[in-house]
Amino acid sequence: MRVITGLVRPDSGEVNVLGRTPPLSAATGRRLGAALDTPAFYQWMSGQKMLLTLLNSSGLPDRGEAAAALDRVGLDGRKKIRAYSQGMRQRLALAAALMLTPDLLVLDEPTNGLDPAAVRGVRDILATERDRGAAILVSSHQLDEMQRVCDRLVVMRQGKVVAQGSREQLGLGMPGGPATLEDWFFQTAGDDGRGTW
Amino acid sequence: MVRYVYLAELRKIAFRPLSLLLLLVLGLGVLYTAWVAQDWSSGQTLLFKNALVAAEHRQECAGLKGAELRKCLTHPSYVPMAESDLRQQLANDRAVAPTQTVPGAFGWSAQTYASLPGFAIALLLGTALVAGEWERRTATSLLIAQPDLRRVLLAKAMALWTVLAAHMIVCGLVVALANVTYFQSHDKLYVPTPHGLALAEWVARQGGVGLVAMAVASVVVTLIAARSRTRALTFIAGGLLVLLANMGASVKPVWAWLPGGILADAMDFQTVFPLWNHWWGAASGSGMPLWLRAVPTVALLAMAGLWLMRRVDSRDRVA
Repeated sequence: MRVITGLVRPDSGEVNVLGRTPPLSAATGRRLGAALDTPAFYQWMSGQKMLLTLLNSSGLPDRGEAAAALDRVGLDGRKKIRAYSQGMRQRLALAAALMLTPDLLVLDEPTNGLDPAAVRGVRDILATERDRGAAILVSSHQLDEMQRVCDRLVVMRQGKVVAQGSREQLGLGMPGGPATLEDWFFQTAGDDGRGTW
Repeated sequence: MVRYVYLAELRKIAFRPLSLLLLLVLGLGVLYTAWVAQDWSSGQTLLFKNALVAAEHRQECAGLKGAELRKCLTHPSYVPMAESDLRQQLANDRAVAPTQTVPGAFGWSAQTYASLPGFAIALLLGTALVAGEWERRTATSLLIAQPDLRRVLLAKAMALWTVLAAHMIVCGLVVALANVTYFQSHDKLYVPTPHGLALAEWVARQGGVGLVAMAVASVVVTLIAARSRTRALTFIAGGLLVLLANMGASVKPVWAWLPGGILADAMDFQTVFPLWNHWWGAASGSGMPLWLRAVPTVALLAMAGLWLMRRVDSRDRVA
């Protein structure tokens, strides 16, 4: 994901993002929204001010995008970020990623630290974005969640792709097949899970 | 396009407590040094004048003229007031005189910012607010929002420069206010204060060179911060560069061609006034044209900047 966003150079191979090779130009970069790692923001700023800073940093004036994005993720933008919980920071990162209505959304563990209601909120946002036509790349260790929200799944184990395809292609929920992605993962990996954590 | 990134960076840097604290410290520092310089200059001249008057009225010197009078006045038993002392004192006065005017206060402030204190402020701000971005990982959020690294670095350097320039102007205003309300009436100087075009040229030169010096410092510290990505390394590397730039001041023919010497000549840091010699090497007094001697410095800075930019560009943007 860091390679996709142009933060890290690939050791080998090529990456094509929105028809370009990262690092992206400013114009193309605005078509990509991303929330990576544990989000880090300026502690002394309010959520609203942080989003304005990021919006301005992307080379755009504010036309209400920041407030709208905060509203979408249900966050009080007047509060200082230092007073935000982990879940609130996660939502702020999501708001930053959504702010410019991107064509491609790259999210790393977007539901980390969120309460059940917020997880449902994120799920709704992802569905809305998908319906709008955005491509969304999400990475998560929460396999059930991924099974629920993703049209296409890529399963990686120890840094390697072990399978990819739609839920149907992976046989999830099919007669005789694994009921869940988690079941599929351990069956395919030949591991009951006890040795992996 | 850079405008918005620049405004965002400016908003980020300008009102940080560290930035305001440094402004306060340097504001008080500039005011104090202005007071010391003007008070010292005024006091010394008054001392010489009083001593001269006292000596002229001494019985032993009465009626003497020319060399005889000088010999009498410079007798070891009298207050030392040889002609060279008086000449030097008047030179001190001339160096200080413009700074007692309202526009000249900004020249005084520029002299401070274009020497060790100003570079220290640039280094501290760059270390904390530019290099710190990578350590706090806020650089990741920023570089996702604006993937064009050159644009981000340019905006950061411009914002840092603007903050330094604003600090310089605020410090100048403080000294100007003190000039009008206190210094001009309490610390009388004994040479005519420059005015009109002469004063305007002096202020323009000090202010212009000061702004250029701060621009160079802002760009260099930003590039070092982006390259090192750590506060400690940025501070050490930047500090070493500042010390290096101030080396060689005692070897005047060499100093005249070094970056530090070019700065000293451009600012016309006075040899007669001891305060500046503590903060930056004095002007070289070279007879060669300054623009000619500045060519190697400009070339060196350009090459160093390009080299650093390439080093920054050729690696991952975050650790």
